[in-house]
Amino acid sequence: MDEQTMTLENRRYLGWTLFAVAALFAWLLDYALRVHLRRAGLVTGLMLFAVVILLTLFNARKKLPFLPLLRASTWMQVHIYVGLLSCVLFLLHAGLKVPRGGLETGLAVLFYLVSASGVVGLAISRWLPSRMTILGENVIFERIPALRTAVRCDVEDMVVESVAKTQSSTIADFYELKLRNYFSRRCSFWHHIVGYGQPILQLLSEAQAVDRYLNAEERGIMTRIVEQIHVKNNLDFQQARQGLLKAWLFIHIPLTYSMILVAVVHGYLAWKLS
Amino acid sequence: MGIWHGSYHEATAMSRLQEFGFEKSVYERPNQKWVCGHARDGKCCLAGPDAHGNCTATTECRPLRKGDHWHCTRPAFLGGPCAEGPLPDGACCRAIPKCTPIRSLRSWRGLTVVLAVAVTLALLFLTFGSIHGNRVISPGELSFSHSSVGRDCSQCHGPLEGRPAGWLTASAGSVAAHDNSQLCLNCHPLGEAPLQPHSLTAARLSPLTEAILKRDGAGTPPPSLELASFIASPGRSGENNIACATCHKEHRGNEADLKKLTNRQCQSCHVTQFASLEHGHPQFSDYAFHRPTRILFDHQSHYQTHFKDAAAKNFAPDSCLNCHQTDLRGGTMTVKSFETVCASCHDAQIKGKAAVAPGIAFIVIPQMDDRVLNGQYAIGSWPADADQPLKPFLRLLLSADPAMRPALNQLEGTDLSNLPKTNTAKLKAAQSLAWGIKSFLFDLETLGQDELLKRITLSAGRTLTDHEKEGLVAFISSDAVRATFTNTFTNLQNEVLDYRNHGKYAATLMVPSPDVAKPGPVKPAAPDAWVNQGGWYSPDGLFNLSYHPRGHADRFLSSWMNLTVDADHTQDPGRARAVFKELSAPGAAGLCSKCHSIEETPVRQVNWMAFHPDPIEHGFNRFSHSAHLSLLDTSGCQTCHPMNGTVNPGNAAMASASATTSHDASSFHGSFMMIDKRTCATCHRPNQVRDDCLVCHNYHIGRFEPLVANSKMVPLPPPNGKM
Repeated sequence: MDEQTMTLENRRYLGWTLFAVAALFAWLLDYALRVHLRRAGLVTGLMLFAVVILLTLFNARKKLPFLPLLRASTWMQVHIYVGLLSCVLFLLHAGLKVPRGGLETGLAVLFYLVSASGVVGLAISRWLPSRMTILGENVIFERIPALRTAVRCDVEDMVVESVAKTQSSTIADFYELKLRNYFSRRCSFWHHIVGYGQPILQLLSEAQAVDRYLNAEERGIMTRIVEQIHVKNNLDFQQARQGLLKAWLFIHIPLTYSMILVAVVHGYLAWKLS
Repeated sequence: MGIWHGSYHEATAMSRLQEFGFEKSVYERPNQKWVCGHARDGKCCLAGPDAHGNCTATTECRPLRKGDHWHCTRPAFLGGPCAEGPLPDGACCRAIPKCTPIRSLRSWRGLTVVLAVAVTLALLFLTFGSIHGNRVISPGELSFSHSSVGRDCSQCHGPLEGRPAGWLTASAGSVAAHDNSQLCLNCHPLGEAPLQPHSLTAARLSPLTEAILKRDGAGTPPPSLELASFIASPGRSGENNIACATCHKEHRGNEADLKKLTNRQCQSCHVTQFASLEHGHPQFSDYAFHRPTRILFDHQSHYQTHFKDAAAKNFAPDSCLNCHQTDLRGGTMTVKSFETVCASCHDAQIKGKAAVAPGIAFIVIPQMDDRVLNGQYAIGSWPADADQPLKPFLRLLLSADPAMRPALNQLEGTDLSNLPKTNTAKLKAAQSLAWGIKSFLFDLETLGQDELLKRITLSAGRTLTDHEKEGLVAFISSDAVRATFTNTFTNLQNEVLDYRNHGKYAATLMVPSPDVAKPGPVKPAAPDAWVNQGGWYSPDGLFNLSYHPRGHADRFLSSWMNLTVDADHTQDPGRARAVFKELSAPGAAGLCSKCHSIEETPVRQVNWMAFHPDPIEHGFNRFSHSAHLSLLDTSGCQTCHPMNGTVNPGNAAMASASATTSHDASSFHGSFMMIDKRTCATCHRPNQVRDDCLVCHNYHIGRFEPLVANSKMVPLPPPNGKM
């Protein structure tokens, strides 16, 4: 079964199997070395370091898309299961106890942060995209500011149109009072992350309250403005969640390199002084 | 729901935010470092910034010439071809205002990586450059026992001094675990082979290994150990050094146990492997005893016979603890003192009541054959009633004079009271012997104890200590010597002086014994009874200076036994051996050898003391009696030490230390049966009491002198404070 035809279920079965075999082998090797009073810590440490380097290569692979080194999605799968293996190796290497030394504590904290950010990243990359598809229109992250600007301009045109056509400033006043801030900046980042919809409902409720003071022509314009309120809300929603999908890498990747640096020092000292 | 409360899709079903397609949208390049500054407004140009963040925008399109006309090529998503069209020279008429490119998200992430690496490097440099950096680098607190080392890493890690940065370059790759182990040994001396398995040389360990393999076989290793051995091997042999850190893991906190090892780890090197004490551990084969005890004591006969005797009713112990007590560490059950345990029954025996002879005949004038020892073989005056042979003590004292040894050798096995008259050599030797005895008595009378000690020293072939000298002469007095021999040799000085100065032999004169004074109304005590608390005496009618033991631990007997027990190292081994034989014979005065066994190794010696553990001796096994005493039931000590039910024939050897069989470990049979391993495993098993190897076994084997401060003696300053 080649990579193209492998089903998701088979891929997961293969991944978990290989992970289990590798973890079992690592555990047995560590046990055997400890029983025979060999330098199990050195061996598991080297294995862990090698695994971390392999995980780091995923980032390098993404920067070299022209190389025929399997598909990025395959690399991602390898990254996930090898990442889990690194956690097993870390437990074998350091145990469940909290390290006592400053350097080792720092290294452990870095590993915890990198691992935790990886797990969080994996979780949100599995959960958020489907939610974004269900709840709104997907847009390219880089285009969101431009689209938001376009929406704001459209709404301002509608406001001017309402004044020109109806000689009434009701919509314009409402825009100035409630909608200008809303359309001119990104709103409610954390509300969109956690799925809290009260602010937009509040805004829509206020817009509905204005509706009673509008004539038919104004109502048509107001309907189009409310549609843009939803569009803008979707843009904020997309930016917040896509931003989160990208933001966790700001923790995961930089700390990985820090961890590698500290690990090199730790390994050198361990080899040299033990 | 309507637009007021509906979802996004319900509210915006009529429109789409963005279009995709070759001519409908701009191609995004999020992997590039810089983004057009107009992108935020949706007006990014097609050219975009260069790699250094400079705006490269010029015009909205590059007109395309078709025939004689230039055509606008502005893409549809930017509005399509413009109305004005290209300029006549083919240039685009719509210039793009310059922008200030902004970094892409990926670029910011790259910067974050650089920042994180820079911060990490800075922290590492600070750490390694700081004089206190070792606090950070240290992998954890030292154990309590090493806490005094403090922050000075070089005490345990070789040439690591100063700032940690120096460690990276000064000795890169040169600090090996074995080198560090040498530093451990500065404070923990572990004998001549400290880093070898069990701190024993391969020459010592190999026979032990072979013996265990022969006795117990390979055993049945637990599956987990088999699996571990299948994957990895110990990687060391008996000849390889093992670094201290292999087993002792430091930097694990103040309360860490540096000696912690699992059973599997202990067994990984062993030839006999098994699951646990309960399952597979070899039966105990060395205990009760694999050698005669230092104090020979037959528990069976005492327990079953003597303690039941009516005469011992008031003395017989009713508990093992009447005679035994733990040592100060609680590990070993030792024997209480003679005075506490044995004296009530045995003190009188030692003082003579049970001995064949109450005293030791020290200087005895032998009977000489006056029928032939006359004329040219004259021996001068000699007690007519002497009837004893030449005794070992006098023989040894005479042999101290090298001139006497030929005569003694000539007369070896000869009956001096019945000399062959035709054997002139023996007659001459007997004559020399007689004059040698007289000379000795002359010197003893005139020089005193010094003469005696001179001869003993010559016999021993070594310098005697003052303590030994005191014991060997045992306060012998001139009165005792004169009272014994003056009446016999009335003209001793003249005869010896003529013999020495002129080579003149006085004519043989057999002197009858003087009449013993008739007793008065009250008969005096016999001489040996008179000194029943010890001392020198001369039995009536015998030309014999004897010594009566003063009781247990008599200095005279113990000193002479110590002097002669290792006869092979004296000047005259045969005669020294004869003295020891007389002292250690069954029924000999003092009965020393009845209880005190003979140690053959490392040097032959008398075991005057019961076993006391050597505080610096580390054997393979250890056991704490005190920890177990509170657990005993009504069986008491016999819970673990069941007594042999029948008197073992081997115990007959205990009758006397002089019996050769009592020195033979192979023929020794203890008073107790072997301890059954199951007794221990009753409690020491998983989920109950610890059953790991290190509960009962030591790893480092040998006598390890504790490290003590070598304080030099320095003169005190004078009282006025000036040096």
